Amino acid sequence: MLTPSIPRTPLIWRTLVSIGFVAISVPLLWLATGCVNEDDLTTDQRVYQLSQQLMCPVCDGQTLDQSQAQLSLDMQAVIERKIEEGESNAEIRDYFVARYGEVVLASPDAGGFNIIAWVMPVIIFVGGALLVGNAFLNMRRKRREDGSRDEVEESTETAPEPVRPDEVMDEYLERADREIAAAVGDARPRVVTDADNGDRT
Amino acid sequence: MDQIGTTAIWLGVAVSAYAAITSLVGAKGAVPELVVSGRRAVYMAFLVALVASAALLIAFLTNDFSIKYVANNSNIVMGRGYTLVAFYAANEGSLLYITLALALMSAISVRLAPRRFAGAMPYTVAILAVVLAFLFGTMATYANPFETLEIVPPDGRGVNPLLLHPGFYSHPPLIMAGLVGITIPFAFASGALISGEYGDDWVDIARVFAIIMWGILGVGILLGAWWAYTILGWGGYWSWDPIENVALMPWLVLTAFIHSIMVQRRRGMFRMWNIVLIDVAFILAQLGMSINRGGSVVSVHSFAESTLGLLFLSFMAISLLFAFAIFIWRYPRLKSERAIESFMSRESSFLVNNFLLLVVMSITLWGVIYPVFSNLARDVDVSISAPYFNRVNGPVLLLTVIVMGIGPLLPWRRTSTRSLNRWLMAPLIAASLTVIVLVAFGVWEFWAVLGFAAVTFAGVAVFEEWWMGARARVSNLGETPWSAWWRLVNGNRPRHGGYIVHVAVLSLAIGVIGTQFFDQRYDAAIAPGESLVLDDYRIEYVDNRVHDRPDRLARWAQIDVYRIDPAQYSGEFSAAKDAGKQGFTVATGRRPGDNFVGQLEPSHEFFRNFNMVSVRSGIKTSPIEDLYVIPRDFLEDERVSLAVSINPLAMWLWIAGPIFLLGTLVALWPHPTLERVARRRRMGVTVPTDAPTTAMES
Repeated sequence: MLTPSIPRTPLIWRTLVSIGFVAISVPLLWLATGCVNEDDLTTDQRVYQLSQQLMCPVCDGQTLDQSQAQLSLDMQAVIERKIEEGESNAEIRDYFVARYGEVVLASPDAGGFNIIAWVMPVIIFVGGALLVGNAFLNMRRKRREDGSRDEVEESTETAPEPVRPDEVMDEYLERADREIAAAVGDARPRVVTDADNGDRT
Repeated sequence: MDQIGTTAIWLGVAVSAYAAITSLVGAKGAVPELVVSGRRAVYMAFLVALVASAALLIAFLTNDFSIKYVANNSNIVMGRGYTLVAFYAANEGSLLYITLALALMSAISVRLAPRRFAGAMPYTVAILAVVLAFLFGTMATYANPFETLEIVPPDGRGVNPLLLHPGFYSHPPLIMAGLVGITIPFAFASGALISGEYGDDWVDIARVFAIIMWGILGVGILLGAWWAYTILGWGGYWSWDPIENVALMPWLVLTAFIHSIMVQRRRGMFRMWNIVLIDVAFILAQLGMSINRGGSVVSVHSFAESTLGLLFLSFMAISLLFAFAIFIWRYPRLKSERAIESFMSRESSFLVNNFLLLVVMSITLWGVIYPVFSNLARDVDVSISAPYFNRVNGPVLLLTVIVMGIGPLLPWRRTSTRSLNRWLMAPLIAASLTVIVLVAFGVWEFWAVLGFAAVTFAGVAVFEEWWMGARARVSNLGETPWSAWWRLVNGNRPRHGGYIVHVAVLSLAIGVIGTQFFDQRYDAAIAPGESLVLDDYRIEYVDNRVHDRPDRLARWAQIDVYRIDPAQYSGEFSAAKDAGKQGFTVATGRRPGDNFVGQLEPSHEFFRNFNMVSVRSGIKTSPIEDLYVIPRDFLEDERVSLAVSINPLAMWLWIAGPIFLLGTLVALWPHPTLERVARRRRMGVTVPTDAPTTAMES
């Protein structure tokens, strides 16, 4: 009866979207935030930058810039002196690691054992994306396999099993949307606002 | 009092155990009387928790220092107003507090459960009762708030000074209640699963309670950030500390849940997935409670430390096994009615949203456990703090904001490319304009520009939705624009409440980008009469005041803040620049162009009993930027060491709070229309005739 004939999203578009998604997200993950050249910064800015990257050794979980402890004030003075002596950020970090151990770094350097800390987020992201993509494809395949049954289900006015009232509404609204869409051209279906009353999206 | 309290706690153990057993026996043996009795036992558990809480409160009010908990967390000089704070300031009391909160919410949810859910109710009650029994049992055996002292001290130690602030009335209790409350939607989902009435009946009530807990947690987290920033003088609002993370993680999963639960309601899909989500949220909430109670991670919030953490961790492991077992057991029944039709649909945008939120959650979890992992694997301690999380979570959060813009534009089931393109036009143009304007004004930070563009994109998408909907109503029904908007929102509160929350998140994002990328800081020690200049502020240290009290030594720095005309200070500015300084100190007084904008009184309080310093920052706030002054130290020579920073757009972080609350309330507001529709349907009217099909020409 009211079977709509909105064209399926073309394969090319879907492919483009997926590629775009990956193309945007993977570099986003890889690229480091705040990669500012040290030479462009003033001494103060570098002290601040480094004090955000180093933990106060005697406070619980606070970086130098947050901590009011005497030790962290002293460490900031050391940082300032070392910058004025011309040391690089990396050298200063190494100096503190040598004194206090790796725990002084607010985030571990991406090398050695700690590479795990940095690789895992990428694995999580890519693994999750693969899982979701796979689930999506599975659903699509399943749908194509029993697609005909689904169509029948959709066009049945009164479903055999009890349906929640708002679900009846939904079906009705969606059908109305599609008819309107077909009739008016591409009018935005969800502008039919008041009729959405039963739809608790 | 201690006897009343201890008795009440043991009664609580008995009553909750009774509730669990009778419910299960009643359900298995089909004895409705037992089922009813089990349900009533939940109400009893609430009453018992109430009695215990009242006993503790009275003990505090009467300075009953024979009770160890009272002696440790209160003293005679403490303002009675802080009694409530002292109540949950340490382990034992907070345990009683969460027991009370869970018992109350259990009683309400059991009372409100819909009749059609009755078949699954005994299992839900049993799960709630087991958790309650665990909490009561822990108090009874390990952490009794009513434990007595043999020698009664004349005065108590007093409450932890960091907590002596009205902020403590709201932030910790909200977080604790939100975390423990996730038990409610979990119990409904699991109850449905066990009973086999897996259908969608649990969805409505679980959704309501999930949104309540999500709202409570969200407000609690925001208040904590606000408290840390404005009051505690921690300098920041979010440091990705483990305790902060364990509150954030369940919130993220709940965010995913309340989105994807809509797909189950609307389309009968994602059934399995929703169960997984609520299970994960519940487990993470328990992880949070375990770490809160002293555990294996280092945190700035380590107020309470004890072996209780281990007990909670064990309970978490048991819950995990339980959730996993019933999931596997009922797995075959959790089939979706329908499948996703198109990638370009609301359903799949929710899928992407879920994916991104869970990625943020997993990465955060990884960051929390990695130090433990490193310690175990190679005996080296490492720290995982803000720089790590900002770098790995930042990009994913940015993607989330973008998806937040696209998702609402996609209708259910599928959409045509043409329609989508048309709807994406305005947001895309606005985002491009943002980039152009920002770059034209010399803002080059790549991530910040991208972030602002994403915020504009998502914001315009929401407003486009509202604009088109309201415009259609105006032209078709002749309403005024505002009432049209309000009726639009009212017509579908869950959806538009969600959009309001989206606006709150965008406001939050603006604040985060501003403070993360454009903050400036200058530290210096200045003497009275001297000033410190940073950017276009001059901060004059006028004087300090000392207030010596029995429990603390308080010092205030009186500071006058001026906006300056940088041209008047050009010499100093260039000298500072040459020296690599952000700011500089000047000795002279007022120059032409200096505009007095206000006074600040940041302070330092030293608490003798705790040997602890508590700092209050001074803030001059505006929508553009905050001037933020922390007194780091009062030096011997009358000078004060100040940390001054300018935090652009920080105010937007706090504007997000009320908007978030408003959106949550709108989304939760009960829907009378549904009942009306149901009544009509019973009368044989399938299609509601009172729903005017307005507005086709858009």
